Amino acid sequence: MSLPLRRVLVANRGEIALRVIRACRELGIESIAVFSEADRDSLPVRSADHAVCIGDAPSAKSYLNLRAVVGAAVAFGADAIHPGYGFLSEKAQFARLCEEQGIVFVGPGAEVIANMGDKIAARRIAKAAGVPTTPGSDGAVADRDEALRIAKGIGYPLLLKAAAGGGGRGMRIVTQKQDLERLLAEAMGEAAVAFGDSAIYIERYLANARHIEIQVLGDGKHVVHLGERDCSSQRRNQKLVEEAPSPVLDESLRSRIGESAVALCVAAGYKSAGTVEYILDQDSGEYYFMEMNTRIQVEHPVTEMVTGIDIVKWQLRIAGGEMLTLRQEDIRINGHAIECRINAEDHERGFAPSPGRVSAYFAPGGPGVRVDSHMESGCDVPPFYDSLLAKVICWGGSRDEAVARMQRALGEMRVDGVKTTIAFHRQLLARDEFRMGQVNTRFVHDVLGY
Amino acid sequence: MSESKLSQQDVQEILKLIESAEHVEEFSLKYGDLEVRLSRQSAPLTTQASASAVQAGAAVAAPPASMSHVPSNTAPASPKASATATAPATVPAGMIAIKAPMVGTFYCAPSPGAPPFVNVGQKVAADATVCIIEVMKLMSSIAAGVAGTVAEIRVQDSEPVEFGQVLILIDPKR
Repeated sequence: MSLPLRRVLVANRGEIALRVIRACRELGIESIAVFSEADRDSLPVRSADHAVCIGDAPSAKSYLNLRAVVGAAVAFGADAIHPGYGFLSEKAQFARLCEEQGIVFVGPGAEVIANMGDKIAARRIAKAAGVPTTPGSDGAVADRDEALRIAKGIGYPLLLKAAAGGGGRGMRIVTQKQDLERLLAEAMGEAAVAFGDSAIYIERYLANARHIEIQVLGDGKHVVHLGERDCSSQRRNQKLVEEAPSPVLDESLRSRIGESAVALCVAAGYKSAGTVEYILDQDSGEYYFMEMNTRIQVEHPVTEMVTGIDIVKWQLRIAGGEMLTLRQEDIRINGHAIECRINAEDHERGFAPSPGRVSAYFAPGGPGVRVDSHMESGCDVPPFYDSLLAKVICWGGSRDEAVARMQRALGEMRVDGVKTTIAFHRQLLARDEFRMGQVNTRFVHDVLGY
Repeated sequence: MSESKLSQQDVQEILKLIESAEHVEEFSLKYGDLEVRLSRQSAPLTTQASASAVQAGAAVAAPPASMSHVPSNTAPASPKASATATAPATVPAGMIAIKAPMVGTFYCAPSPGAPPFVNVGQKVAADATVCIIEVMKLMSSIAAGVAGTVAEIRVQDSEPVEFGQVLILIDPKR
């Protein structure tokens, strides 16, 4: 069967650009890499069938420039754009511009992106679909009096969150009533500066939480889930290690969370790959919807390794008009997979970015090891973009085998010239708490001190 | 937008910060009518800090200086030669290259069938329109930027062009 997509423009850089180019090649689709001046000599640019420079190094002039990206797709005859993650991937306006120009956006429609991108709207949709949400305000709180009233109902500690937010900005933990007013003002001010929107909502703060997310695939009608990923090893809300399956879910909880994610996506008429994120309160065993990411995620290979399903290829196939042939009962979780994000960061200096030139690079290999990376010896790590250099993903028949394999792989890996988080990961993986699967979202901060 | 101006002291402060930063190779700043461009090639910071205050008038900011396009299709990973539709970007000595300020479609004439804006051998003024680049129905006229004679037109009409691609060569001495 021939695919309707002939030529896909990859609107991203780094490892995810390469990942999409590889999926295109396996499907017989031509790829166009668009790049900024800083990435001219990069591996994805050389790997694509075509490459088009779209602007100067700063993201705002290239990868975030809607008109340049869509303009390149039109001028160079692409019939679809894959946005990867970050950059324009969750900008409804971008998806809309693609639609207007007759270019297929590889992802859900602009409307779904807009709804899910607004945390308050997303919570409403989740509630309507019967998905549990964290006890909290249904919308933005108007003022101090309303905040006090809601806080009374939820109890302390509670969390103030920017409606338009992300990355921990506009976020405050309130442990006692007398701090509420001050912290609310702070959070609103920070949200206004960071996101141009001071709307804040309130929810219960969970001190012993795990981050559980469900990978879904939908074609607009049918939705399946590919099980969960556990991303509890985080630092300041940035994921560091992800694994599947979660070491703490039992079968019953697993299928309940998975089914709730499917219900949410069916309600939204979800098309393409997506991820529904939950908080699991380890103290009560309750789980709550947090947000939905309407794009491919960094950690998708973990799920690919345990299900054998190529999620990026499915994104392209669905975008090309194919219906999902996978049924829920066909999805099997086999073994265990772990991913470590290797960033160009100095973990001993507060994970400060460490751009520069990679003077030497050696990738780990052997059984059960997958490396998704755009790195090569002599390549530059520009200071303009995020610091992800490589994802090392290890599969094992058991969690113990996957962890041991990861330790072995990280020991083989060599990256000279820039600081990386390899040593940090080796330290984390060696901890008894990690081996026992007892890491919550505060572990890296509270126990390791980062 | 802003009424405030950078003082000499501000510029010195910026230079100091750049100098102390390890990984900065190039730095450029535009602030009102002040333009600072720094680059550090090898070892020390070559403070060719041409803190040239481009006063008034149209700053004919030639598009990103000296970025020559090197099609790097020698990589082992490359299954096909990078099929970018760009001509070799060697700019002969003494010539000024007019480069595409944006990705889009190149048009040599104001409308289909109309005579081209310029032909090889033609004299042009700095403000003369030499071509149009279209991005999603938005037409941008591209000016020569320098007075001289059109030495070469490197792109065909209706051809897609990438950012920074050399479109036309101007000989400023003829």
